[in-house]
Amino acid sequence: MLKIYQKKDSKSVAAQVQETALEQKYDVIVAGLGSAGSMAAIQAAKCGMKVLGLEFENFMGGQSTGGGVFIYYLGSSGGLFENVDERVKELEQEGFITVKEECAATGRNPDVKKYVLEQMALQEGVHIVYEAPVIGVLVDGKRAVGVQWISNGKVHYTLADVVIDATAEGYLFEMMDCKMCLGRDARPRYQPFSNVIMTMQNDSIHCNYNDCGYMDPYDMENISKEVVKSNNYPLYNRRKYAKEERIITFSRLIGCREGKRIYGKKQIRLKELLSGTREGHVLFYGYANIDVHGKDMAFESELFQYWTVVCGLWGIRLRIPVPAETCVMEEYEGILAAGRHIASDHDVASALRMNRDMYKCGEAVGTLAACMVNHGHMGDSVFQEAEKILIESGCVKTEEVEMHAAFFDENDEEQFLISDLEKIQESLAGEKAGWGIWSAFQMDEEQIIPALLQWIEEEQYCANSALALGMKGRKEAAPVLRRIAAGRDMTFFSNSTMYNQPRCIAAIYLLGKLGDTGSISYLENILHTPDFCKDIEITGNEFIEDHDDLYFQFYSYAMVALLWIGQMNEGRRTEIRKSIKESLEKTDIRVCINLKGGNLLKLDMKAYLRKNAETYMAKWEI
Amino acid sequence: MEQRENYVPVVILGATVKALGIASVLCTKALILEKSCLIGSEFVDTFDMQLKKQPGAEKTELEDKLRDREAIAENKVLLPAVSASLFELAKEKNLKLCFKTVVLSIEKRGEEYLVTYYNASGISQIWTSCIYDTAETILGDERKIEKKYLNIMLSGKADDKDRNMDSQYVSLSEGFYEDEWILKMEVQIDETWQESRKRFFEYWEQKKEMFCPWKVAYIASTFEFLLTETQEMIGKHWEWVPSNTGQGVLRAFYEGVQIGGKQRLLC
Repeated sequence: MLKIYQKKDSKSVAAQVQETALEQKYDVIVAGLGSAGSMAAIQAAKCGMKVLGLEFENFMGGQSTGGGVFIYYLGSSGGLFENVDERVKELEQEGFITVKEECAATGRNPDVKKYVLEQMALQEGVHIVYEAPVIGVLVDGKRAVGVQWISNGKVHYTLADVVIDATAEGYLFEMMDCKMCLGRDARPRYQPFSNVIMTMQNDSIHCNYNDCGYMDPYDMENISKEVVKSNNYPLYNRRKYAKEERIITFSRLIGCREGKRIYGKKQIRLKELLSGTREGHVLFYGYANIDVHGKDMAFESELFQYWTVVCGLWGIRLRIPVPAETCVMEEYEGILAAGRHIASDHDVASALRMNRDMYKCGEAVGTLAACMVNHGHMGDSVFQEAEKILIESGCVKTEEVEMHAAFFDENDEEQFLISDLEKIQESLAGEKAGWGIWSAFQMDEEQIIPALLQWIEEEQYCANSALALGMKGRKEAAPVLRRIAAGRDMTFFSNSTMYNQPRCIAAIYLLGKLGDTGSISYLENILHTPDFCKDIEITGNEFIEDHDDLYFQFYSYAMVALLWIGQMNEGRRTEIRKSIKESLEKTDIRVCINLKGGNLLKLDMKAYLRKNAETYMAKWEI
Repeated sequence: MEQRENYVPVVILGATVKALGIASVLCTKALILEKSCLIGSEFVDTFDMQLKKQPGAEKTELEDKLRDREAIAENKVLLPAVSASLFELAKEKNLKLCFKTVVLSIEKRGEEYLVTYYNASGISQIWTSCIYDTAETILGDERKIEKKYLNIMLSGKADDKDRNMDSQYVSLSEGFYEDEWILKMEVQIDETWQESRKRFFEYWEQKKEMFCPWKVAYIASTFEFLLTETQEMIGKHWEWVPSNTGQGVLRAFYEGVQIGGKQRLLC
């Protein structure tokens, strides 16, 4: 019996469907014609499928066109989107303003791209319906067989062999009450959102997507409040308007960076990614750094902390093999994910969301859908056929398939793992010590620990050897780590060009992980001294723009370290709880951050910190 | 008075300029349902900056806010300032807005209406005593539309151009700045977005000599409409009062405030 699954008042509900309500059948229905969905629809049609493309908005391309994020940041070249861009580039010459190039980031005119995508889709025979939200999924047993959608007030029930959820938030999977992977456990769960505006400067178009705070993309009341709030920030609510930097339009989309992700048959996890493990049938390769926008890194995963905070490798670009199984769920057949909601953990999700990669994701999933329809099932032969098509289109490059340890930038030899002890030692004394520390962390304990214990005694290797030992969980590192923290060592590694943490913050984190009771009073002092870092000179970067940003790093890491220490030392919990509680209650201690984007939009973080601390300490009561 | 769950005295369809005028009087007694995440898109997103009525004739909070921003000049208004002023008003008055929301149905139940809508929270319902529909179409029905336009913002020097268009379907008007122009292209009422965009791109390709060295700055993502009527009772306490009736932003807001004032007496 056919059922319709909908989301009602934030919950999944199912009801039976009258067979008479059903309309014509398509091979593939693509729900959402954004970056991934537009490519999925075009590609599936190119593969001979009869495709219906349904879009809430009135254009194709999503964030990469009308959403205003029309510049490219990383992602890799090749595939269908390159053909689109070539055509856009040609048309741009016919009297359209072009995109302002910034920091080597290039982009294409969003209006022209909307048109080109649309024309390509129509030429391939895609039936496009705009302003047509999908409001339900038709399910037969454990198979998605179509969707319920609405257009001009009329409700449609349309069947398909394969449904592609390209909504970016996985709305269709949510309707079916599938288990979804949220952001990280700590609140706020998701990455900051941006309110995007497009401006014209010197005859070129420019997109401005500063961070505007946090929102829950599944709660429209919360979203709406944040939209109003963000539009009242000075960047949007201006008192003076300059002709030289005129706002020409506002984004029609909400600039969410992260939503829920599906639990696929396989999931991309940072742990396996960084260890070079490849699983499943790779559909395409993503290429970006772990591009978190939030400054609340203290609440990220342990591996994220080691990679980004201790080793300072935030900017290192990862080549991410994306298996076909990350687009497919165990629970239901007949439905695929295309977009940033494919199965990955929260850490990897930050890296797997760039325009180019989402285009590739769409192309790959569109191909997979076509192969599934042709074969009538999902299996090795389907994956093999899809891979062949994707290699032919350039979406997947043969060198990517053959590349060994391909998860790092092959153009930069310095970034490869160091396996030689002497070279690790040399690296630990250099400006790019992060790579040496990471290599030491990856090495067998028997081989590396004796060396680190020796190097920690030598001045030039001492501090970084302590970080490596701390990552290995060795308490011998604690005295040096305490010294780094107390000295407020502001050394930044140069492995990553931005979003670096100073070495003292890494030391504080590791002291917490070691459960070091000897640092409790020092950490408590941070929580109770608002002027703790006022005398430190701020050089000013995107991550630490001023003393508020720096104090937040000290404060949040000290709090997290204390929580770890309390977790490991039951006898110290009362004291730690009291200290954290008192600090959070003191009104003269201001803890805030600047949202990324250089506009010094301050966000008070105390409520957020309190929530995290209370949640964590509640476990101590049990 | 007891608060009923899932009830609001007034539901307003479309976060239009007129809707904000109505809500600015009713405040939390009104809920605005809007399909985009913009406010005033019927002006801001169609590049409709003309002020047909003299500013100051019917002074409102919106005009004050626009004057504070020096956003009114020679019967034209700076559209980004309209958006900013309306969002500021929404924040100041704590207006209830629900963005990215599509109305699925409206049912009359006794003396009230049950409005069913869809957004990121899923399908929801709300009861109301009164509905003001401020969109150009009545729940997607285009029967009140006389003409439909796709507007395009162009950038170019004034002295470069002969403003006489060779087609009755295309006109050119000045923008807010001296190098800003709005090309208004009439399209068929039943034309889709894809058809209208194609029409413009084909026109632009043929006209490139004439417009050279002007450039397209942006293509509006909301259609502008000329309506055959500007008001209709759809049902008891359900009124269609489209926001953009060709009289400009200030007039639309003023009319909204008038409606809100009358409605407040009933709430």
